[in-house]
Amino acid sequence: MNKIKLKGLDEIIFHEKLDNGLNIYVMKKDFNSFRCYFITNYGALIDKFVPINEKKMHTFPKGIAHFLEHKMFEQKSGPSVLEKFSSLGGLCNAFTNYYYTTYYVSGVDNFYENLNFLIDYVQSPYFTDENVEKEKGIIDQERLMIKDNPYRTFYMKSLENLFVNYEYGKTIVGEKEDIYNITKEDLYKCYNTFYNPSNMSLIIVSNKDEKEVIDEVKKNQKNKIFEKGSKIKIEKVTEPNEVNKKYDIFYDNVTKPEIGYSIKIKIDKFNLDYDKVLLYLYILINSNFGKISKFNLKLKEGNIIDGDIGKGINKYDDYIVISLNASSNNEKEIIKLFDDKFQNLDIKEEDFNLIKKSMISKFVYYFTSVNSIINYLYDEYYDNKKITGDTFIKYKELNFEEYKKVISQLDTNYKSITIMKPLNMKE
Amino acid sequence: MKYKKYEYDNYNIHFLKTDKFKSIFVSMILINDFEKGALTKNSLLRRLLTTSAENLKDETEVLKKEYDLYNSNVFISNSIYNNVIVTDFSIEVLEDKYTEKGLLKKALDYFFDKIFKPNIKNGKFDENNYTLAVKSLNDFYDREKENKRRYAYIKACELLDDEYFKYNSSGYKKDLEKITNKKMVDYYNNLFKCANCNIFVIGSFDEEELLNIINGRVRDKLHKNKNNFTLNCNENKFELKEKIDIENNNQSNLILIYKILNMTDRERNVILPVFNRILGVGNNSKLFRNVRESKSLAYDIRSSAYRDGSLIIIEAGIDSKSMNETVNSIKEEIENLKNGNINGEELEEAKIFRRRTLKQFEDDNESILYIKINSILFGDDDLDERKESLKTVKRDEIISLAKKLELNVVYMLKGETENE
Repeated sequence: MNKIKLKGLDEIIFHEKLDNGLNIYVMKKDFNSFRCYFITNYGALIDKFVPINEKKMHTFPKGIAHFLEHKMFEQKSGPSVLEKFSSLGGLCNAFTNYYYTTYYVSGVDNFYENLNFLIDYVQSPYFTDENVEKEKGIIDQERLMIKDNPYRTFYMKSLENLFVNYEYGKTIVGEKEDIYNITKEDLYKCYNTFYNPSNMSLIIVSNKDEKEVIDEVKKNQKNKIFEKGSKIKIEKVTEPNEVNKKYDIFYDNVTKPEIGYSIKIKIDKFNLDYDKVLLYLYILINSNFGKISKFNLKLKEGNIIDGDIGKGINKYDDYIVISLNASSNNEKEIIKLFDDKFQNLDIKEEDFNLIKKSMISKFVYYFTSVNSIINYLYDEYYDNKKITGDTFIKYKELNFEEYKKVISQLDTNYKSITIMKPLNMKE
Repeated sequence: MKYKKYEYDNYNIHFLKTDKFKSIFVSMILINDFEKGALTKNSLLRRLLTTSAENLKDETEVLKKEYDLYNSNVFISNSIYNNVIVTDFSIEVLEDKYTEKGLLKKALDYFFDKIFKPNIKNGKFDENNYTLAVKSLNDFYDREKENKRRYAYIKACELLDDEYFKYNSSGYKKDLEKITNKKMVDYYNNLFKCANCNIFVIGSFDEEELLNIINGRVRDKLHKNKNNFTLNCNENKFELKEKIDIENNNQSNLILIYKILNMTDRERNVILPVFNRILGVGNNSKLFRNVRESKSLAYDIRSSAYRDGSLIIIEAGIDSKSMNETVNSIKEEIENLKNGNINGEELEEAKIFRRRTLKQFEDDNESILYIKINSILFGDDDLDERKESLKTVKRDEIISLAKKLELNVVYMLKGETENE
């Protein structure tokens, strides 16, 4: 067992890797509530890999990680997962994103019973032809619900237009054909490959002693037999610097046009930790395009945009993407204004310091509830498949000189424009 | 946690002292009698007050000020509580020990400046800010249809008659067209003149210092008014209303509104939350297990209970072809409850669920504060009362409450491009 200090925050997280490869991260906090995340390093983008005990690369239908998440709630016998957690006072659910599937339980009573059942049910799959068939209609309804959100479609389209080979633009639930093609056998292959403890982690925040919690998990795992975990061969996708589509218009059920302006930047352009690059770019984009900037206000006052400019700074494997979006009837004007602004960025120390101050104060708020603590820990885990505890210190280390250096290396050459127009504007 | 109330002629101050949290949360609650026209004005006023102040001429200056105060953001919200409208001005400030000495005083000065020193010159809100606020609200109304779930909810509630609940708490585009800058200044001034006011603070702070700060800022600004809040008991007769609207989306949104007739205080405060959990809250509820899981009729289904309006609202995301089957299935679940189809296990699970929710509230300063506000101003039970009375809920009481449900509205926002 080792202690990871969350540097600069006087908080400690206990970590242990069990003999079967399962990583456990435990933090003790004096709240009534507890929350446990059981994570497999397997999400929607992983659909080409060599299944366990096989030799050939296999392609699975899109959406299978999410389908698997739904089916993990089936039990061979006894009360259903939902009934069992309800009787224990636990609130359970799960979510799938690009790289992970996470099962969780929260509650105030019966901590150990809830924790054990979370581990037990995720480690005992039960798929039948019948229960797999039954789920398809439900997941298809979920797919339709997502499609009814035009801004979600807009976001996915923007990613599709940015990436040539990366599949971030595909939906996490898959398309109708994918969903209806999934079989029980596919699910077992994916499960057996990725739900091995060596590919999984537990993150736990509770008011219990950390060592006791880890011992309880050890006891749970002691008599369970798993195949020896080995490195899973996943098809590596390489991505060129160029964007997939420089300009794209589509139509959806919205009242006003939405313009998306995205810039794709290879991370290795910057000779710096990507976490810090992201933070510096966050400051840059907020100070130049955010509500704190006169630029945003001028566009609103000039009736060029409705509402504020939307902003995002995200990492996608080897790339960082800066995204701006705005509701506007003047697409040409807005694109030109964004282009010009990127050529004449404001780099002010006063804004840098104010935004940094605001970012740091958010950290204190993280530690005011179990939910926000676990969200913070999950965010750390998301980028590295491990918790390092050094995020806060990276925030504190941000300095104006380094900021200016990062901005000087900014390359805005690879840009993609996505425009969503109302259906009634379709010719 | 220590609770103390300071009563003044024209307002009250309530302190909840605890060192469990790292921040101090302040909420100033104004209660005004319901008036439909106020809904739109409130939405506009929120935008005017949050984007500028006397010494902060635009939103960039406001935001810079808030960043400088370690993200001490001022929030303003409005809600309808049956026959009254509640305006809540709030701010959360990190304790000095995590930031800098004197932050609370500076943040509260800013908070009260935002409320009492708006950007008004020569009897008008600053023209530039006013134009931007009107534009922002117009844009909000134009986009209301884009969120199908919320839009369906608004349209279903419109079918209720004679109730405050039928109105959209965000107001109406048509009403906005009639509002002028001058009228908004009058409205702003009258808001405080006619409001019943209470100020609540939770956290660790010096009581005397805080009393001085608050009294110094509000004493001359507030007026003596009664809190006229009453509960809706659904004593009037009504007819079932059914309506289908068509929209260009894939999924259909189905909404059923049940009225609860003549609830007792105990039913309203104690039984209703447990009943609602059994019916449609969470993934072990009757609606979730039977309508979604067993019959695969909906991806999403849930119920919400409104103690002040005596309503249960059920929302489901469905395929429109399944409308009749889903409506019948929901009705069947309600009938089953009326006929006593609830076992001891289900009741126990609902109580455990409720107990968890209440204990989780104790982990959150805002939840503790708003429960206190609801108990003092709107007659709900306090947190300790809720925990105690929960233990006493009996199966017969759930059945008896179920028998008071009458279906009032069936509404569907039908997706015309359904199944692509």
